[in-house]
Amino acid sequence: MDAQLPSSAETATAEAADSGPRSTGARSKVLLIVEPDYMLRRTVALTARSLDLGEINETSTYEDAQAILSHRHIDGLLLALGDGEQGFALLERIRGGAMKCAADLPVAVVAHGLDLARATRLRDLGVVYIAVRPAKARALLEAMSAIARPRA
Amino acid sequence: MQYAPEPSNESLRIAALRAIVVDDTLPEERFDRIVQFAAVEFDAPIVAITLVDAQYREFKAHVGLDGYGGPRDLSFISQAVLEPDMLVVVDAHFDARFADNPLVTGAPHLRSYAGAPLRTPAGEVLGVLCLIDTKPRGLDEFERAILRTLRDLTVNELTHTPVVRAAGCSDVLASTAKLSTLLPHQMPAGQDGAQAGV
Repeated sequence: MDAQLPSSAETATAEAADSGPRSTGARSKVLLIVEPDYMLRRTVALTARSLDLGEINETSTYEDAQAILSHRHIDGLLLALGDGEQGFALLERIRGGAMKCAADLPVAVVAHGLDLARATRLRDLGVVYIAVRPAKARALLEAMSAIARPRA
Repeated sequence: MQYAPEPSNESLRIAALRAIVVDDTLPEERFDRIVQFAAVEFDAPIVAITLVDAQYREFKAHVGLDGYGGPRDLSFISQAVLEPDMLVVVDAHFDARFADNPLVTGAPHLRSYAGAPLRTPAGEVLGVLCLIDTKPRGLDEFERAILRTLRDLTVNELTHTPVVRAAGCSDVLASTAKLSTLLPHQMPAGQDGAQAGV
């Protein structure tokens, strides 16, 4: 069920979905899923909403993710990493404070097998959770739970 | 072995099913994707989207089964359609409803079953999305939530786009069940679905 992230020329099907259920009381976390695999993304997003993990936004492309992160407050990010640099570039822009979200935004990543260099980069970029493809929806929901958790 | 009673709204249920399933059912990628996803997600050897007519059940999509469907009365699905949320049988050997079911005591030796009724917004159950294993297993809360999501995606597909049907596929089903006539899927060889009343 895994797939590579599309290039910028393949972004026509990107979508940003509606928000999910909101709890009364404390503001629910606003989470963003960036995952190109339709079935995996939809299953994780819908299930996360049903589990009340937060207000769930989703997109299949980095371009849409950047647009969302530039204009909306986001509390946590689940980011699929392709083989290229686009995912890292997005992460670096977040950490550099170039987005509307906090520079220390909790980020979980789903990636194909990582070599030491890429794993080290993710660690240095403060990624809190890494799921390795082929990733199951359950693993990504656990990642979403981790980034939605209140920070110590 | 316990035979499940008919749902209280059986006539409405059948009418809803026949309103959605138009003539000539064919395998469709949109349903195949759901069962294939579920099989991987749950490590389940058998997954099926089954539509339930008055007498017969028919696989709309399946993994790990051969055949089109079969009689409804012996099947786990007859119990599953009665459930408000889902039927989870952790180990059929220790469940009085199924312990002496021939599908449990003999081939294909089913042990565990999780079936989520495919309920329309109006409340009629069209069929069941089910996971089956030959080993005992339960579902934790994450897994139940994922199964509900896949159920909802299936219902959405069923209720928003007419199901495609094909003519003259199964003599048994074609002669007796208005719902019938799925073409065979090119699925991995497995248990005989016509016998496996799932």
